[in-house]
Amino acid sequence: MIKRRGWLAACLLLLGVFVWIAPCAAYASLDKGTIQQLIDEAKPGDTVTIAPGEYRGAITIDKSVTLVGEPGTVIVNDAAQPAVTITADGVSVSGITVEQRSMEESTAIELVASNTMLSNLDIHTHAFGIRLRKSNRNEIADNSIQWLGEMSGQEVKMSAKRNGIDLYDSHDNVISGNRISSMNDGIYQESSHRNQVIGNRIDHSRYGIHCMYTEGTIVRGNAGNYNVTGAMVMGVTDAIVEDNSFTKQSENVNSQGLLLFDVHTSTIANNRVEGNRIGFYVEQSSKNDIRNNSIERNFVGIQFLESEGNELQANDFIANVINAEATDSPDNRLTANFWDNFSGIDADGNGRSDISYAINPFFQQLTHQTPAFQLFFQSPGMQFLETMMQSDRSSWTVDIEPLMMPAGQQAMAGKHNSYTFWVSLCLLLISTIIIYNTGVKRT
Amino acid sequence: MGFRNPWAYSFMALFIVFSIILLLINARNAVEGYSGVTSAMLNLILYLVPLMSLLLGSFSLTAEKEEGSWRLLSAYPLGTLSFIVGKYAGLTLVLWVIMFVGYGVSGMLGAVFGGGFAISDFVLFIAFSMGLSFLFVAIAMMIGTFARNRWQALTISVSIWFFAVIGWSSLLVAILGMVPYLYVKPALIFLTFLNPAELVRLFVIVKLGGGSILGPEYYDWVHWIGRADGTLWFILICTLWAAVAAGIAYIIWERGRHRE
Repeated sequence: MIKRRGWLAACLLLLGVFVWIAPCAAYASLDKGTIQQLIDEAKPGDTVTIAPGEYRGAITIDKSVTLVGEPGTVIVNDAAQPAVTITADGVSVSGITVEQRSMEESTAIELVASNTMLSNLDIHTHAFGIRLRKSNRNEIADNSIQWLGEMSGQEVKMSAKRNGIDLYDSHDNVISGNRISSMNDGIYQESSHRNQVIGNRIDHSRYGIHCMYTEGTIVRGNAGNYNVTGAMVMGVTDAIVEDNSFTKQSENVNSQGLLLFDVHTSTIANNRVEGNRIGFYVEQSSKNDIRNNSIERNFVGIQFLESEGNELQANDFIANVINAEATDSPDNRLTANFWDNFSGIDADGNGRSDISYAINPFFQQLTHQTPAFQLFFQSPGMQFLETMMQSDRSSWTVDIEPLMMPAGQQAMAGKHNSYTFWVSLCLLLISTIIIYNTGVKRT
Repeated sequence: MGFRNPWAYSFMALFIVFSIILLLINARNAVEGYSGVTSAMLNLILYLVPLMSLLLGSFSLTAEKEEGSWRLLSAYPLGTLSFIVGKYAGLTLVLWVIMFVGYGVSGMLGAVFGGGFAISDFVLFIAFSMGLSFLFVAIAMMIGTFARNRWQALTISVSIWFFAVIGWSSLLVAILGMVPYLYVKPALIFLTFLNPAELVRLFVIVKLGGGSILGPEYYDWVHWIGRADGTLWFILICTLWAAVAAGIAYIIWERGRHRE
């Protein structure tokens, strides 16, 4: 046994040595510091092209050069400092794979500069992906960022991970078309204003997009799935969140599609939240315009807590276990939404019901006092109890004129399921045989 | 056996109608996993199946007493245990056949005309109904043992059905309101194990992928049931439940037999 293990170890060692030697042998001239030398020799405005190969970090770009990696260019960094640090304005970096291997609190790419263009980078990191500090008007496009070692099946706690793209005190940046996977927060913005987050895809992270104390943020056309929460927007005014899709955020007990906390005068429109634990979670938020969203197949469609003066219009609530819950949330105006569990009456034929739809807050109040009662979620007994608790109806959140038909297009799934057919046939056969043998035959 | 009893056929007709209603609800919005539609269907099943099991089960036993066939049987060398176990197995089978017919008809219609169930949900619903009837027949055996005649059995059955299915959360919210906060959750879990309707309902919700809606309080439970061996444990608990209920019925019948 011991002999065999020793043999295996020797093999592994040999393999390791080979893997380590191979790139060094192939690109002997391109050893440590070569990229740094090329940058040092270049004049501002030059384009530096890097030949394929594995390079050792860390490098610093302190003049406005364009750095282009040919396919197969890899920068590996084991040191605690960032693999690439950019300190000059007007730099452009593209086509490079960056591996930040150090577990220290650092980042693959550090940006302390403005008007930078980062594109087509493939970042694998044990720390942050791209970090922006006091950096304005940069463009970060079409990069891929993921946690290093996730492929080999190593389980890392979410809290031990760092953010994909992390902005602090950085304004007017455009972050578009990036793909971020298995990080802490996908795109994190703090005290950063007027940034545009457009068309990114984020999965298996904690929060897909996280905004803290930002103004004028635009979040448009992003897709998030299997995150704890698709987008967490907090302490924000005048944001625009539209055309995003947040799906399948349901595995965690704190999962939401879109979480709005302390958000004011913002527009939330044309988003699709599907299959989440809670579609929209709105807390302590006011005067927001929430319209034309499609809220489907969530456990709870929309939940209001201590939120007032929000406008909720032309949203489709379809096949949620509970469409809406609201507590301590007066003066929200709900008009012309579609609620699939409500049958309205439309006498004047304007497509809107003449009777209103009221949301019973009983269950939410009950579980707020005693969370253990959450066990009764949608149990027949609880529905029975809810129908009896009809007092104080005037304080309920009400949709004054709900829509008769969904506002958006609805793809109805008419499934022809052949497995179900065969299973049904078997069931019928079995029961016929039993009934014949025990009932009919003996009489 | 049970299929010479006209009750079985009227329940079968009822269940076919009922399962077609389920199909129509499902066709409105075909969805896989835990959703508003599946939740409504679970609740409909939860209303009908326990009631059916309790009535059919308890009537079958009281009929033996009323019609005197048990006295006749007592004269034969037939053990009370075989009698109880035979009754239990037979009644469960009758109920399962009723459900097979119902689900079979609606499953076929759905598969042919579209808007049918997804196979995973369909199988889960069948399993859910089978589990429910298995457990409620166990309760029916106890009712049939205690009740002297059909009228008593009917009264007890309906009241047990009402408290287990409809009044359950009202009852618990009222009672646990008086219990110190710290004991609410343990008491709730303990009581849930006593009510087969709740036990099976929660198991199915977790299996449909809706576990996280129960909140952080039940994180460990949900994780545990969600695993593959969670199903085995669940079956074990159900079997234990049935064995205890049937055991109690057996002891009381045995006593009655010796008194006569």
